Amino acid sequence: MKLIKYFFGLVLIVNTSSYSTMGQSIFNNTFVDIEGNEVQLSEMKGEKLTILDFWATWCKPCIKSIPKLIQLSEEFKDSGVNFIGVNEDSPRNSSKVKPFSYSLGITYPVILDSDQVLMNDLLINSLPTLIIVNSEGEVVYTHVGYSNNDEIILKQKIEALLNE
Amino acid sequence: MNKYKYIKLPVIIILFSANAHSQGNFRGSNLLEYQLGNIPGLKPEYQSSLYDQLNLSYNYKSITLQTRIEQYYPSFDDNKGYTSISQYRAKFKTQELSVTIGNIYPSFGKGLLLRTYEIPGSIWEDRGYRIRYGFYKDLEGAEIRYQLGKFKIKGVYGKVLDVTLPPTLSKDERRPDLVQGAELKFQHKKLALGSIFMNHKIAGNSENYVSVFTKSRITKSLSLYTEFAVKAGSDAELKFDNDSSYGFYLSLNYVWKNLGVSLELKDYKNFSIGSGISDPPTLIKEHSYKLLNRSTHVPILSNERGYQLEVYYRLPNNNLITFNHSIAHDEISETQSHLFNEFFTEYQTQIGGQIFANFFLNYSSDPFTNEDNRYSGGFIFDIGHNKASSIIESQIQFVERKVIETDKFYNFYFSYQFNIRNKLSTSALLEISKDPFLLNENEEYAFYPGGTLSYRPNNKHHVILFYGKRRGGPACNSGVCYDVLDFQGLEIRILSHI
Repeated sequence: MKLIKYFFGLVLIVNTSSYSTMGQSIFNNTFVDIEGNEVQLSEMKGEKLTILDFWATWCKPCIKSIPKLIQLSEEFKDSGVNFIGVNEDSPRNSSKVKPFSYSLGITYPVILDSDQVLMNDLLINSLPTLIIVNSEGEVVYTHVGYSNNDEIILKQKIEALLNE
Repeated sequence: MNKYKYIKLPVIIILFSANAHSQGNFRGSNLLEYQLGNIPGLKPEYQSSLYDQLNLSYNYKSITLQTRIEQYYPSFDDNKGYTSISQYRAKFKTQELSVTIGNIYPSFGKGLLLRTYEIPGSIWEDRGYRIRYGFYKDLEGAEIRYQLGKFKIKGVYGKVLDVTLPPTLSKDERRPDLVQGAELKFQHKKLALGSIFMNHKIAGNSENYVSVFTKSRITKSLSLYTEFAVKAGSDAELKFDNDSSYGFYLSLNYVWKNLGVSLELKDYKNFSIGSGISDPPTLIKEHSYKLLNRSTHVPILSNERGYQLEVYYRLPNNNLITFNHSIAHDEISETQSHLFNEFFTEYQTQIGGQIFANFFLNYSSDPFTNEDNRYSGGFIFDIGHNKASSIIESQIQFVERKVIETDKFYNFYFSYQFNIRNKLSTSALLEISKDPFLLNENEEYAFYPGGTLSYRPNNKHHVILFYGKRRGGPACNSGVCYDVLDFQGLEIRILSHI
């Protein structure tokens, strides 16, 4: 039994080098948004880029970054770039997500990932984490944390990816 | 576990097959933490340990395979060290069907009956075992989700991990709770109705639980969620006396222009299941301020009722006001009851585009911990410079605690952090406490000074170095409350993404 498990792990480790540059298709997932609608990620993705912002109501840097992301989403809305907020609050805080999102004035869609399905699939281990996914579903950029003026880096990155 | 070996083998074969075609997507992450130090006051003062957690994920079309390998090697006791593949997961997913086997994180409803979770990036250690391992409470087994039109069904079978027990113990000891259950949900427009059946077995005892829930968007502004769960034993009559076991939760939220309101009610009676597989909403605010986060109230599931009200209002220029009030009434016995209550208000503002500030005030009373009055206040100033920023944070708390005599004492927290973009940051931290429970003989104050250095060479690696003395105690993270050990010494953490 143990041998099978170690073998399983070993196969994955050995494969690391051959797959490290490839992204991950993530659009084959259905979530509930803060309005209570069932939404398919594939229907929400941007024509060129999709930006997923993983956040929670108790996460201070997340809250600080959101007004900047709202500005960026407005700036790129006609460029084939869609922003999606992925809320990671547990049932303890999930009741607050909709009123909090409205109060922050979030204009892009916010989906609920309270079982951490998407977070686990993408091996995200801290908040906020922002990932940029291309139209093929490949993760092309990951940004962990938020400091003042990080939105400038993000803007440059989005522009560079759009020009590729 | 033997029953899973027939499942793991095809998983490996699929993996090989995928490799042969050089298709698929691969991701990985690694968390490594080295500590040189100990709990303050314990000998030897400096002892070292190394913990590593490697997570690997492979995706090919509808199939995802994941595994986690954990290692821990302390310098002080060979019997506490281990290397193990602590998780594996195979998932097949289409638009209607999802089948997952291995280590998974399922929940029923809002967690009144079952909630599993992971605190990402956290490492668990307790004073008894002194063994470090990943902080997650998973279920080893299988989950099936199927959607047919307006109906959704979820089936769960498996054993839940008791997170307080380390990986050096046997699997049977660490997973005492066997759960099998199903959740059926019907959604029509903005109304969802659901029911849950769960069977729970532990140490030869078997209990059945049922639950019903509704979720509705009454108007564009108003949403309601209710859930009622009850133990359905052999005398399965519904009663609300001292012997009954039930949990009730309601949440109502309202939005109008810049105003957001959340109101939640709870009533939990004899509702702690097994080794703690349920995790009903606490209805106590999860604070991000250090001193408030530590002064939390953990619900008494044997008998607790209460509510939580949270109000947000956004002023022009993204200034935000938050108000929170919560009440928890615990009936410990016929003659003894406790009333926890808390008031919190916060003002978040932006000054001139480059200064981001938060101010808070808090009052709480928690007779369960004998802390009759806690008054707290503090601020954060986050000041942007050209390519850098400074964060100044200060909090103070005054506590009145009556055990035999009344102790009155202060807790104080201060930190200064300097960031160069998101690349390099350094911070100095200081906590001071006059809490008599923390003071050694002839000590007037307990000091917790520390410093951190954080460096991100690129967006795949993050190195964090801590040196100093860190205060432990209760902490809440991602909706879960637990105890953190004090630490004094050097700690290096390296996070990597492949």
